[in-house]
Amino acid sequence: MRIRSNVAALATPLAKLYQHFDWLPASGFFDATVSVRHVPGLRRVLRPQVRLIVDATIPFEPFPAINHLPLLEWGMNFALAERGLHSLLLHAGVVERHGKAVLLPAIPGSGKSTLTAALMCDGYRLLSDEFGVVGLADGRLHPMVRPVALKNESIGVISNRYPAGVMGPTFDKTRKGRVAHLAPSLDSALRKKETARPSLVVFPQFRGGAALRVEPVDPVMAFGKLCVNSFNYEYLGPRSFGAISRLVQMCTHWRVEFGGLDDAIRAMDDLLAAAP
Amino acid sequence: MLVYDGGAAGMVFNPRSWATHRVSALILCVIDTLRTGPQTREQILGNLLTLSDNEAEIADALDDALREMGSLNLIVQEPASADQGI
Amino acid sequence: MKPPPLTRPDVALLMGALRDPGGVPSLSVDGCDLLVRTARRAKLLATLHVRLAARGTLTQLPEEVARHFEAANALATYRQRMADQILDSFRAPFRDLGCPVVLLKGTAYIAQGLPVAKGRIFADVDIMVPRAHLEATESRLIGSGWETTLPDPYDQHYYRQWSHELPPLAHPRYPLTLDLHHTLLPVTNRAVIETQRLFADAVRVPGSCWQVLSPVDQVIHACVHLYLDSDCDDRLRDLVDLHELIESHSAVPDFWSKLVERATRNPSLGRPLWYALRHLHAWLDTRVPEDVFRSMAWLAPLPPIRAFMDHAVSKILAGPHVDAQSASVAPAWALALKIRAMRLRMPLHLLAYHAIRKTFRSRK
Repeated sequence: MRIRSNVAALATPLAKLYQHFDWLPASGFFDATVSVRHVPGLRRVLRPQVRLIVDATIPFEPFPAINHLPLLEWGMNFALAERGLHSLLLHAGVVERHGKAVLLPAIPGSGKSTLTAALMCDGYRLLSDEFGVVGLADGRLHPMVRPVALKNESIGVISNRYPAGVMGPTFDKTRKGRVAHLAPSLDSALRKKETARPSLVVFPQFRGGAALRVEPVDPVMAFGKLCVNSFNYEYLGPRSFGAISRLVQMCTHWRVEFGGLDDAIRAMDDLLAAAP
Repeated sequence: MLVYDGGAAGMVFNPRSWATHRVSALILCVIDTLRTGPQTREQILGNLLTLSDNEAEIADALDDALREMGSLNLIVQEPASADQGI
Repeated sequence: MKPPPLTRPDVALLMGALRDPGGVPSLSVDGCDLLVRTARRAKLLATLHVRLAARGTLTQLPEEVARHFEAANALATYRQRMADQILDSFRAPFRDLGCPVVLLKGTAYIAQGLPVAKGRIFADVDIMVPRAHLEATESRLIGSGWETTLPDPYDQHYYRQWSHELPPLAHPRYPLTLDLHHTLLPVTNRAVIETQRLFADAVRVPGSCWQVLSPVDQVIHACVHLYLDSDCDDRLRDLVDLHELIESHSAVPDFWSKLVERATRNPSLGRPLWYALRHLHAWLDTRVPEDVFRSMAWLAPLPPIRAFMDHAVSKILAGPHVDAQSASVAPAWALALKIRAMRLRMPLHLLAYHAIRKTFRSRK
């Protein structure tokens, strides 16, 4: 990823969140080049805004200038998704442990990001918080390691539970409420090129105060949900179907309803141990 | 046509429309039967009677399934009453 | 006086790769990066994929580069399939329509299986029926689930009165829109289109119920589309398509003589053809016989206009550099060409009327 910006305030949070990554020279081949720049003109004084530019196109309305980092992170996701038609991209968090990868489909309000962040802090390797990249040739999950975007209460939950976690600044007034980013762990960053075998598909459901409930999900149901929770399923036709068929067959599928992270993580550890 | 057979239900990919559909076990059976070639409704029914004694029930279920498959463009009905899978 | 060459480094890189796909693996890493980004922005990445694949060059590229070409190919393939499906879906509603249905532009190329169709990223499907059958065709389409994308009655009226096509139609099942034409250019355009002749000369696509324009008409339509119906801004893709179209059709006997004859008979169409051949030859090395240039020399514009068009188009045809900060490159030239396009589309008094009406509507 190549990032360009004239927003000086971005330098510090970027350095913090990507501290375990190498900063490469700007010349080279990159999957995407993304730019966040001040919107020029008189407005710069009255109502400062920043905008995202990807290869001479401006895909979104500008953000208030204080929300530079969320715009950049969102923009990188957008650019990667747009350019990602070489693989099947599922909308899911992906973590891995003991050579087995767990897919956490991203249903809104399910607590997927919070759980993904917690699992990473608990020692799982993060492949991605957003993209389950399924290789069409090898059927494995390919990492796309980036900071985990946490919203509203999750920010506090994760910083309190894992004070050693590297959290970026909190942005109060984004379209999605309060947003902060958790840096990928050192292990996740070091192993960013290492693919993983999918073993487990877990549909999380956070419900405050609920007791832990772990139930198997019918594979055909899982199949359907994965199709729907995808960025580019319909474009790849038979190859998508084949990739999901293979994935569904390789994994066991569960619904995990949880009220607290202790329960959820323990459940994940158990499911992982039993997974193929 | 690509099929994922989940036992009690399955998923089917229609190569003509590039659409993916969830289908019942009965439809999976019909698809299986049609792999050998076009069949009439009676022939398909004959194959399915091994599943249950209640001929009327099976016949009804089959008609529903054929209707659904038709609406999803998974089968084509030729005038000589022979159904042809894709 | 030749047109100025396209020297901007990113454009030269892209043109070079299109012309000689075998040279792509020798590009530096930076060159590759710029090429992929530039081609993608210009909607030519899938076309480049086709050429690389044909040359056997794809396998020589590192995986991290090759997969970008594959991604573009996947998108183009998907949209072509959707265009195919849409055409398929018309067979029932158009049965007994009682008039010819002529496919235009990319929709025709794909039905004919022309090389130019490969690598094309479809945004819409274009068909043409005679004016008298326009409403009937439209109602059959609406009956099949197509809906207008411009519900405003003024817009509808504007299109039906002045335009060569209805407002685009959309369908919930398909990602492409549908443009239903009754001729090739707006009624108000200065050029004269002999629509009846277009239909008379149309040819049936073997093995289908569709018609397409004759080879000469296809080429002329493409030239007209680029040089009369657009402001040439970011239209390199159209010129590349024209090149391929001509390469295909020039093999047809008497193609060139018929083309010249048409231009001679209808100079309002001859002028855009003249520009096209000139720019194609200068920038894409399209093989145009010398005597064709000579026979069409009288269609040339006056030197100041020729120089303006050469310079303006050379500056804006390829669109912005991928690292451009602002959306518009060479804004003065772009504006001049925009004004030219508007004036060609509509006489000044109608333009003023339309502009005033639009202002009032947007104030409401």
